[in-house]
Amino acid sequence: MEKFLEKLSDILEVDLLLPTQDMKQLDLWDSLTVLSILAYIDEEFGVSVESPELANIRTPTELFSLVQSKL
Amino acid sequence: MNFKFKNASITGVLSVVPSNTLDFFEEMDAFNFSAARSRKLAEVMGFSKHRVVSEGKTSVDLAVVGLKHLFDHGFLKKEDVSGIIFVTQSPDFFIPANSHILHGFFDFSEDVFCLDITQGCAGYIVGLIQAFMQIDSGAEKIVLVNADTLSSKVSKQDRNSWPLIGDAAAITIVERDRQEVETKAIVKFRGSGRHALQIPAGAFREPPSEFSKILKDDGTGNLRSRENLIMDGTAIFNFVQENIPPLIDQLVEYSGISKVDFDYFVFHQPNKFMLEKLAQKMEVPQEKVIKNVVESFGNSSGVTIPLAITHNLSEALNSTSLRLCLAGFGVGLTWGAMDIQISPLDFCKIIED
Repeated sequence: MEKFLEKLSDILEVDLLLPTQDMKQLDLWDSLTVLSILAYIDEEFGVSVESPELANIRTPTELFSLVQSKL
Repeated sequence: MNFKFKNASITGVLSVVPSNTLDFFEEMDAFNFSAARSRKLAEVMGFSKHRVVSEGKTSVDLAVVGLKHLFDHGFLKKEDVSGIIFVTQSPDFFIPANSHILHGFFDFSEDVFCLDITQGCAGYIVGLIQAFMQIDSGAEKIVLVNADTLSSKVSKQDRNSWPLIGDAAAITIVERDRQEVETKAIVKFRGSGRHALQIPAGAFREPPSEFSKILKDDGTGNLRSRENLIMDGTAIFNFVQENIPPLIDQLVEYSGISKVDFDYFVFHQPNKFMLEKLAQKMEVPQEKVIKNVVESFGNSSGVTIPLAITHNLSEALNSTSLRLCLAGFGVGLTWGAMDIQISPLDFCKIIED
């Protein structure tokens, strides 16, 4: 989870994301950062996340849980 | 569906791009993008410049410029042409089809076959297959046109799509010859995924109306109407990552070769990011995967493959032979790949309108 947070923080260009922070409020949350996050999840965990699943996710914790559930 | 063809080759490729060039950084100012965001988009996605037709110009206009060039410079003789295939999703009219317009404009003989194909990102592969099939049946020389002017269907207030849209045309000559190296292709379809890339209104299912022109916010600050192109970036990214690597594996097995036998991978050019990720996933060297079309021209749907060839391989293809892996993926959903040997071409260049 720590490495996950670091990577997401890097992509979203914030100092350090809080696990319960609403990522969609951030300035850099857009189609590009979404793609970068999906690419990272695919490379790191071998898992793919679909649009409808992303619709309900706002925080790193929620995203991490989703990824874990697909492993 | 799988295909194999012998005794036919591509003998020339010409791309036509609008001279009208738009600059991403100038446009981003208008979008109120922060400098950080613009920089990031430019760096990662490869956004820089894109070419769009000036108002009133269509895919036919670009094709006419191309054909005139070929006739004027002695690269093509009207009486040698057996058929015209026009691949587009931005036709001049519902009726008549673009290939008929070209036929009439240049006064081709009555025996010249005309066919329009409604295809997008995989349109070069599908168009080539059609050309090869016609030659298999007896045709001598086919003029394959891939052309689109989808910029007029993209909302200028759609920050996901406007910066990367491009208009262009390409003319590829395919002719019967003694080419012994078989061309192989595999194309797959998934209609259930068709909503990932669509223009919801403007044709028969949802005719144009006052309602279909209303610009709506999609929830992330992008405004578009039902008559505008809408792309689900996430769905497309996942689709490409999951399906293209296995397609290429299937192609090399069908051909009895391996990925290292290809000189270059010339894929549809959605943006630099997706192509880098795809190369990584396929475990092929980044230098063999062409990914520089969006930054200079934008994404012109089915035209990006021939545009990539003329933009990168002109010098090589003037004098040497290359074995290329072409792949188109997108609208449909359609995904197709082709293993093709290209011998020194009669012409391989880009011109402006």
